Amino acid sequence: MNELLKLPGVDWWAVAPALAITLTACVVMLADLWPRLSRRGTAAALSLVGLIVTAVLSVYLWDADRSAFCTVEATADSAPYGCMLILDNFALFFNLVFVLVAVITVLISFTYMEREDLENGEYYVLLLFSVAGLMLMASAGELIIVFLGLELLSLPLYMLAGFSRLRLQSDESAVKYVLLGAFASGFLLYGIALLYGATETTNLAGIATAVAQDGFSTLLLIGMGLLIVGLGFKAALVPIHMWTPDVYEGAPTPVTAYMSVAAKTATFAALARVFVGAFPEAPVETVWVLGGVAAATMIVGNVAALVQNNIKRLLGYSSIAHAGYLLVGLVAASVATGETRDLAIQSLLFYSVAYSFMNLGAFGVVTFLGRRGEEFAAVSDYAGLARRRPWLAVMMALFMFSLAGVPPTVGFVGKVYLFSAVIDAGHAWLAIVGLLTSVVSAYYYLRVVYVMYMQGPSAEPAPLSHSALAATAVVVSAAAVLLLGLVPSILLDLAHASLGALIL
Amino acid sequence: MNEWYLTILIFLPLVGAIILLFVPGAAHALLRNVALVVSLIVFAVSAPLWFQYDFSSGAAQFQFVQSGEWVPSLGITYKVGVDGISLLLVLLTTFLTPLTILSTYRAIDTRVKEFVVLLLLLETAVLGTFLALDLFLFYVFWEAVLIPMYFLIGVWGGERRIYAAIKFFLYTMAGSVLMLVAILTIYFLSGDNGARTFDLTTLIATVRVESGLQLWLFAAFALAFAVKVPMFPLHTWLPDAHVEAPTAGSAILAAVLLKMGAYGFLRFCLPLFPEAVETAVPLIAFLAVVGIVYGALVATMQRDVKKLVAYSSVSHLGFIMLGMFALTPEALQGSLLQMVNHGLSTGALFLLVGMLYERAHTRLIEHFGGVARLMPVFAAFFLIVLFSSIGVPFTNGFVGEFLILVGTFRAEELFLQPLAIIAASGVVLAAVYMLWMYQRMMQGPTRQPAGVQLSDITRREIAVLVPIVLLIFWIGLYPKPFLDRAGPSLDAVVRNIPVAQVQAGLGGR
Repeated sequence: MNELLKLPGVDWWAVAPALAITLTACVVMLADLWPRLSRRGTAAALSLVGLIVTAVLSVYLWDADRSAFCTVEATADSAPYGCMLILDNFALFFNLVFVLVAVITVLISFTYMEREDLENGEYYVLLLFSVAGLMLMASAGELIIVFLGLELLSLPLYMLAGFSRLRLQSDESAVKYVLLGAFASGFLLYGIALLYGATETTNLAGIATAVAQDGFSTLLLIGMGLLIVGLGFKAALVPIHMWTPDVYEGAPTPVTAYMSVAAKTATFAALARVFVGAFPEAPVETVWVLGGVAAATMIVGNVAALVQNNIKRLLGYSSIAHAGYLLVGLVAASVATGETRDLAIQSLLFYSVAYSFMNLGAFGVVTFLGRRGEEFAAVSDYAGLARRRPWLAVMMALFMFSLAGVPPTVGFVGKVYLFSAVIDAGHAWLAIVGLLTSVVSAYYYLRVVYVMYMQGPSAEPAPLSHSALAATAVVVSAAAVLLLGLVPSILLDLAHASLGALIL
Repeated sequence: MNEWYLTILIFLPLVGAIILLFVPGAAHALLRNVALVVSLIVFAVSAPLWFQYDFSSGAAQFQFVQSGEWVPSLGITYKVGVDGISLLLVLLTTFLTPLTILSTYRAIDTRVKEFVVLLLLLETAVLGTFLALDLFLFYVFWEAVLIPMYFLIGVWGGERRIYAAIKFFLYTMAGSVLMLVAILTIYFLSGDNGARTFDLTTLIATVRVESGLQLWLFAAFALAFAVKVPMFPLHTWLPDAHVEAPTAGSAILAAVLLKMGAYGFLRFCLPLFPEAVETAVPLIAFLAVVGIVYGALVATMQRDVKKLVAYSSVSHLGFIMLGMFALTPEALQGSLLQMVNHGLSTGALFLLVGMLYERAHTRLIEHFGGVARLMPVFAAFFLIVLFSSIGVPFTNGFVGEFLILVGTFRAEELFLQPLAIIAASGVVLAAVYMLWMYQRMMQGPTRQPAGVQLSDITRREIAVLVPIVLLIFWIGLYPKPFLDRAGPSLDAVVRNIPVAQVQAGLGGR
């Protein structure tokens, strides 16, 4: 039999979390078809169960270092090199983050979707499929898996963005996202093709070996560039961030929350895999390019957010800025070696979690405002919130301070961590840019706070919904923001334990 | 117990704030009383520090130190301790907080709950700033101060309160972030000889920064502190914040928050960057003197008495900075003492202005005249506090300013002598603007704002002022206990600075 057709055995444990999510998605889809089961809440409840099972599986597999779909030559010793899927602690860490993000999203979705009369099973099915895509990206040992994960993540998101079918803005959001997203996928695929041309492999470890032998050819550099463009689109890096505010504004709020957090962290997980795994000794120029992109992203995101009057656009631009901060961590990781690189990757992991909590929390509060068909997303709609719902306002203020990076919140610790990594890596200028733009960002975050606290409610205050589920999600996020700000060790140690096979 | 002393002190107001959250928001009297009691307990807890702080042996090391791991993987510790410098500022804080709370009984009647909770949170953050001995911990407290103060100005302030609150927040934060970069840089430098650490005493003992980098790091720290002090020309947030803040906010801001900047210079800049300090002396001294004269001149021209006091702060803080960077033992002592003095006198001035404003709803000097006849007790207190602010002998201000000027005059660097002379003119100018203001408002033909009948201050308000006046005279007549406690610690912070050592040797005490 031909060598190529000899299929290697599959380590099912390595695909178990992604498989569990996919199966849950299928179950939810089938349950939705069954009249007696398609009552309200069934889909959401089933999704939560599936997510929790996935989390348990991920915890169970901690430290197991499984891998799957390895090439025939890959022996037990060489694993996980040469494997397509690597379920090391790094991947499991992100799996847990994704599960967490998805759980919070489900919690803030339910009331919102019911209010908008959109509550049905397919929403959760799409959400779950995209989670499977996220997981593939974080555990990719192979560029093709990165691409597959990205597509599995993106296609449901395109649909979710347009989920409020009757709202024109939502449709616009979806169309923009699809068109630009397709372009980005093209770039990514072309980049992968060029890399294959340069190194004769798409396996990350294989590329690293080839690079170590032959150095960085022009073809390779172009391929890297296209790869950054393709992934940078999803992470909303400047100058390919233009779609972000429009898509974020138009999509249903819980979807925006999910997109802004999940797609971003997964992209950075994949970027870290690629840059640390395949290009451990990237040429200096790429560092300057990436650093320049990071600086531009922080500056553009924060400055553009200053003039936004819609909270979803404001948070959209703020999420661009936060992609810039995360990229700072990636720059540090790709330029440094040894301990400094470990520090940088840990800071990237830490900030992913920090950002997830504070951004999801903020969007969670946003879902409280509005009534069917009308979103009340202007910043001025928050006037007097401190008097109408003191606790909601306190938590929103907490998220804003955390996003701005003011202690004692997790956002502060996360930023210190990221910027200390880049200082240690010898690029203090990026830390200075990051911190100065944080000051700029304080202005617009504080604007939300003063509108809530220092302006009275308007004559026709925005309608507020009551939702125990969303409230739970917001309270949990707020507690995490504060707790991890005061006792960051819990998460730091976990991040430290997550550095596995990624480090070559 | 000793070990936990400072930690309990720092977080006691926080506990009080949490308790207050469970008091119903409509029970205004209860809220105020609980807050007052909490702040009095904090003061009672802090008072033994004064007696138990050991200065007999000329001990300069930190006392009541508590040290524990906070984020072990990054070498961040929770370390607090007190020395002669922080001792005075901590007591100043715990002393003034109950008085400011007492002063708000009538002034604040909206959202009382939030107000007192924020005041107590502010106290925790300020105490933490003064007591932290770990750079990271210090930075956390330093930045955390911004949040309650932002709300105090923004929610209960005057007409342009939102502008003032945001300006205050952004100015301070912009100054601070570069300090964070510097802190991290030192942290990584400390890794060259041992484990990386944020611990201040270890850093002072082990880290030697080469002089070029030292200048940069000093500049980053100095920028953060200079904004907070505030030093000319970074002072522009101050008049806005002061004028718009409610009385209690202004009082705390002037009395305590401004000291954080000067304290930062003493605690961090002088010992960590000795060479850079020597290089920076001319610039800082020059800016300090410009601040003295400029603040005084601008204060003279103010129509709003609160603005006048705010600009007088700029002038007074110039003295503090001048004394600190003259680096002679006398000037350093005067500088620290003047921090306390300024806290007392300017804090009291803001409280007094607030009392007048509560009655008249205006602060314009031209709306008042002959008030001394209508409010004799008020006028008497006002005059005493003015004297203290001007630096009339027998009041605390005299001791502080005298020490600063003498100390500056006999410094090694020759250019400091003319600067001392110019600075002395600031004292004269202070007399001009303060007494002229007193004359216009308190003396002459009676004039009061239309529809207002001014009544003298109440017993509650007297209770606010008497403790401050007592301290004004105590320090003015017998400053020795204060200087004794501060002296050894001040010597310690300049131990690495050659000029300061030479100057200490020449003069002696």
